[in-house]
Amino acid sequence: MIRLPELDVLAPASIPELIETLVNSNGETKTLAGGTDLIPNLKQGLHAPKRLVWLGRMKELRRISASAEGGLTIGAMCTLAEIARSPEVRRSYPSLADAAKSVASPAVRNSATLGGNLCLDTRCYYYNESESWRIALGGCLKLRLNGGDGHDICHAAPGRSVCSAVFSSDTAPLLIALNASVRLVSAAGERTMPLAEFYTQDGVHHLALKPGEILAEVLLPAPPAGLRAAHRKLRQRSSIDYPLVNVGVALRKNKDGRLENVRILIGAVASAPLRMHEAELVLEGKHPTDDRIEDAAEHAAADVTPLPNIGETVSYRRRMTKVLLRKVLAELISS
Amino acid sequence: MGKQLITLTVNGDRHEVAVEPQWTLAEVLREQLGLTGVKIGCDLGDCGACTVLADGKPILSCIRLAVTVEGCAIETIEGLAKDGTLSPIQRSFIDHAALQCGFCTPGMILTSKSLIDEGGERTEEEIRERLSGNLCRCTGYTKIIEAVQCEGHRNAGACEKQGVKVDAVGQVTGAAKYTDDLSLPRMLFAKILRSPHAHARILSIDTSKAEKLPGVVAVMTGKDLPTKYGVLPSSQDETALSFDRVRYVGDGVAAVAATSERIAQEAIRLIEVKYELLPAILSIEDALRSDLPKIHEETRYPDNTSKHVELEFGNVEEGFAEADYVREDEFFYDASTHAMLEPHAALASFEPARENGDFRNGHLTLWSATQTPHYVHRTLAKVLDMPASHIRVIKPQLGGGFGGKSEPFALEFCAAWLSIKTGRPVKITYTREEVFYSHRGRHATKMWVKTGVKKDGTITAIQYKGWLDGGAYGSYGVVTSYYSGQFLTMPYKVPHYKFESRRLYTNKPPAGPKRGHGAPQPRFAFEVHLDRIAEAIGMDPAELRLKNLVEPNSFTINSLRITSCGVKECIEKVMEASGWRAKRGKLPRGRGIGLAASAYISGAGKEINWLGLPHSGAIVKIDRGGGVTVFCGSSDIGQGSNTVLATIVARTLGIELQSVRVVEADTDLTPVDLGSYSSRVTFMAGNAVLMAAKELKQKLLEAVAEQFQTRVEDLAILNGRVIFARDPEMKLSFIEATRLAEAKFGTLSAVGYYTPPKLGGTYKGAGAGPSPSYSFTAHAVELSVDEETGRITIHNVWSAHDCGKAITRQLVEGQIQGCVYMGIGETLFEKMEYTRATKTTPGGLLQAASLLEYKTPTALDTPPIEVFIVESNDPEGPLGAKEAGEGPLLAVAPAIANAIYDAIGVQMTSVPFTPDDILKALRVKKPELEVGAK
Repeated sequence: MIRLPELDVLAPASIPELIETLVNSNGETKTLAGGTDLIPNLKQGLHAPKRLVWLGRMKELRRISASAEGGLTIGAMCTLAEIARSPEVRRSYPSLADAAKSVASPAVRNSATLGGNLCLDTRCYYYNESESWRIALGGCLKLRLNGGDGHDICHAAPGRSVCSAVFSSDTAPLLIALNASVRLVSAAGERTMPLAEFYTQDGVHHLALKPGEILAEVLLPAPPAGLRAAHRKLRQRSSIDYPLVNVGVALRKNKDGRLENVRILIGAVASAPLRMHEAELVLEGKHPTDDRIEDAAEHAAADVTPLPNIGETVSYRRRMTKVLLRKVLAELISS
Repeated sequence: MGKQLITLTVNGDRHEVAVEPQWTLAEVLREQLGLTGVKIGCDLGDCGACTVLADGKPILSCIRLAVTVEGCAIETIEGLAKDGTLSPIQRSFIDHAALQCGFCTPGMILTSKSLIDEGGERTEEEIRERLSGNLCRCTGYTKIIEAVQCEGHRNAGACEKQGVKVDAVGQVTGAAKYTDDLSLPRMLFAKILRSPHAHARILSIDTSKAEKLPGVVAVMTGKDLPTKYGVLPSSQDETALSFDRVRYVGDGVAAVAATSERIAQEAIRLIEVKYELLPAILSIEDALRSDLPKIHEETRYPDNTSKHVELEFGNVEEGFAEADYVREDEFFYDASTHAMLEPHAALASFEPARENGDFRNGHLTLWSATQTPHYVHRTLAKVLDMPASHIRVIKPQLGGGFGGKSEPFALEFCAAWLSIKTGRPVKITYTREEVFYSHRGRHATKMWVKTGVKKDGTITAIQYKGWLDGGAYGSYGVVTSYYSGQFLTMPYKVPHYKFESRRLYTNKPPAGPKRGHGAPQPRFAFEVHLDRIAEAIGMDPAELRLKNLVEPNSFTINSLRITSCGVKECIEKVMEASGWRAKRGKLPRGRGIGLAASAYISGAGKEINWLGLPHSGAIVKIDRGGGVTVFCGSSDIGQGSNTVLATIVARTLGIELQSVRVVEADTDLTPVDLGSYSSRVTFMAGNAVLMAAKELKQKLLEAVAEQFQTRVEDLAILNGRVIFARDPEMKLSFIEATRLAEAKFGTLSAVGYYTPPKLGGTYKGAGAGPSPSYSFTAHAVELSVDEETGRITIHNVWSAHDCGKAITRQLVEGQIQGCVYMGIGETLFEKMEYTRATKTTPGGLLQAASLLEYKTPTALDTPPIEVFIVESNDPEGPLGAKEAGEGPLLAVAPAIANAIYDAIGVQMTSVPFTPDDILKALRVKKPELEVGAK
């Protein structure tokens, strides 16, 4: 078995305890939720934290509550399996249940949490490998930026000075489309920000989390009347795999059949979910026609530039951006 | 940090365990609580073998820290059987033969249990979804799904099955001990340092820092064991560890034994190796250049050729001249690997010499996850320079091989040497990444084929050329080179045939024998080529095949002797079952049907060391309690060979299967069998035990005949009783018969052995290809192609296989389903991609060295596989049987390719076909469909 280096695990049982823990842990700390992303990464030597702050004892982070109008507050430690079968989620945002259910494999979803999925580390063919593999490669930009040895070249896009590792969350694109926000907690207090602002475009520091800050809750507004939303994922195998590309879409059809509040997000093609403003504009306020859907999908495909840093070719992933989006839009509009 | 005391509730028992915070649940369950039914297949959460239940829900114990499950009720496979009775799901897995190697079984059963306990509907779709994170490499999932559907309905209709696999109870309870589950007092753990370079000279190795690390007990380098070895006498090109140069990323250079695996892991990082880089040869094209360095300087070729074979039978030019239509095509079949779920593991224990200190006088025992204990035994003696009589090799329960464990590996020598050096037991278990580097998988093969046919479809000549990417070492490559040409014509009659095959060394993990060994690649090329010929001459491809089939009791043009042959029935069966005539060319666009046929050996007719000795030996002995024990060197690797051997003995002696025990694969206890490779065990070991069992039966009946004044011909043994022709009422128990026989003949045992008859031609190279018997297969595949995404959905596979006589039908079905599944994997999903050379890196790093990136199909990606067993009853096979474990893989890729052509009119010529490849091929054919990318 691959043995993890020695480390300590702290397990606060409440927000005040957590804050105390975070205050006292000066750096070299990682937050542990379900561990399905972090533990394999530790086994591959991607990080060597001295301690982990495990959030599993914090019962307040494991609740799903719904307002009378259907707004949701979801604790970061709710597992993806719990979200997939939660009656509250299924009632207000069935698309979120679908997105949660599309992650990895059933056993992973019994440990993996929503907070963990939103804070997933970025991934790359040249980085998410064993330590000896990375040494054999001679290092990469992300490794260097994370303080490792070797040259500072991005193997997926030589010449780039910003790491382009892929953010592969299956829930984030949809949640952004659904206008979700996140509540962040730290010793300095708490703040709430739209999920859309939670991601940077930097493959190394891809989250807006400050040191010592944790994602505590995901907040979803009451679903607007007539909301239609969907998540769709493409991957090589029908289970286990990360997305090659995914799509999160939300829109409303008003009384005269025009589309409103169209929000289209594409995931797994960059270091953050990408909002497709141009594609949205093609549809916003218009009657949906096949041509417009095609046009919107084409705009989205033109607006993504996947790099050869996860499976399959760049051209395929771009092409599939269009196909996936066209299929999702067609289904949402005809449903 | 140190340890902390936690309370774990496991299988209802409360345990106070002192754990280090970074220990995973799998580490604690296996190593602190001894629950070795928790299996480690990938150690990164990708395969599901380590699944346990936490409060009834499956979780992956290899990526869950033990401290995070305190307070949960943990269930492992060991907790399922209650009060000495198996749980219904365990029974169902046994009854439906839903397990082969058993390595995925604990996780699979626990996941199934969680689904069943929820009490919802168990549709096939739901079961596939729920099991989709538990990879299985043996079964093709079909029987697993049946087992889950039938749980609790044991006596109803299709669920009424009776499992026969003799080792199944140990596998479903977690009691079966695989090599890594073994542990000895004072045992050390070792790790191997591997080369980061594809091709480099080793200038120096400094192990001093590693030696100083507390807990390190011994360090070794290649100079400790410099003797070259190789599984074939003609390619002795490997050493236990490299000492002069490294030939692929992952080549071993040093090993450390320490008191814990973590220390060993840390210590190898402290070893400093200085290298001088050499140009890395990463392609067939580069390997053909004579201006690049040779990877093995001692070869007789100017370039990096490792073996060149050229043979002609008849005169192909004459044959082509007689043809009405001649066609040439080019194909490529990429590398793939076995990805058996159990990683390689070896445990060595050395007992020092009684007197002088020379280790050669000591005794070494090696437990190893190997398909070929005899070859490991021979090679250890050679490399350690120790008498083979002082070495014992034992194969414990084995978690799948498929050819990937059928020769000696570095860890066996390193564990042995480190144990000799330290006088302590030493265990090495490979990580999943190391398993990928050990490889010995399918040779990537570039192919050219040319065929001539008459207007009526009669084949007049075939010519074939193949270039095989052999990777860094020889392995079985000489045989692969022959096999890739020798089996191409079978199962068709061909009057003129010529082939050339060239295996090349490259700086990649060594290729070797993966299930079907050298045959699937040319099979793909030829069966697709044949469909194109059929189209060109306006014939149904199935009819074209039927027209040219070999016949029973004939010889092929290259002198292969065909005895029993049910290939015609196989093709007709899948045509009928699939509705071939109604569907081919008539399904709507996007949906298609394809067919292909093949033949394969039942063991190689020549032993690789050419010693002229039996290929299989067995001893069968009878106990006074009526129990019968079979001692045979054969290796059950999950395919069920122990069950087959026990069944042959039980049937011959007329007793129940439960009374027969098999002691296998232990060089001290069991007569030599060459191992589980080349589909030889049922045929050869089966014949050996049959011979011994027949002798015992004869002794029993002679003794009974003498006692009761009757003739042997008038006696039979049935259901544990001797019956008498003259008096149907008269019965004598088997035990009484054995007493009479022991009194007459002395202690009851018999030996049996099998040596193949003289086979094959007299030409040079005639030794590779002959087999005492050949199996035959036909597959039909129906699939849909999504022309937008390029994704293929296989709706059904109909597989007919001629295995002679099925000794154990369930196991034969399982082998066929497993072959089809594995064929689908390498045709549509699995890829061995390497980094390319750039300005900054020399390339040659395997990019898919994990079960996350190497895409073996899940239960959701595997179609239903419908099996038809065709029984041709082989005249020389034991009870009429021949092989079933490899042949059914060969024709999978071409059947899929031919179905794709039927669906969308696109010819796929390069395996694997990813969705992107399908779309690219579509665009080449129909540029007007160009969509999307800008």
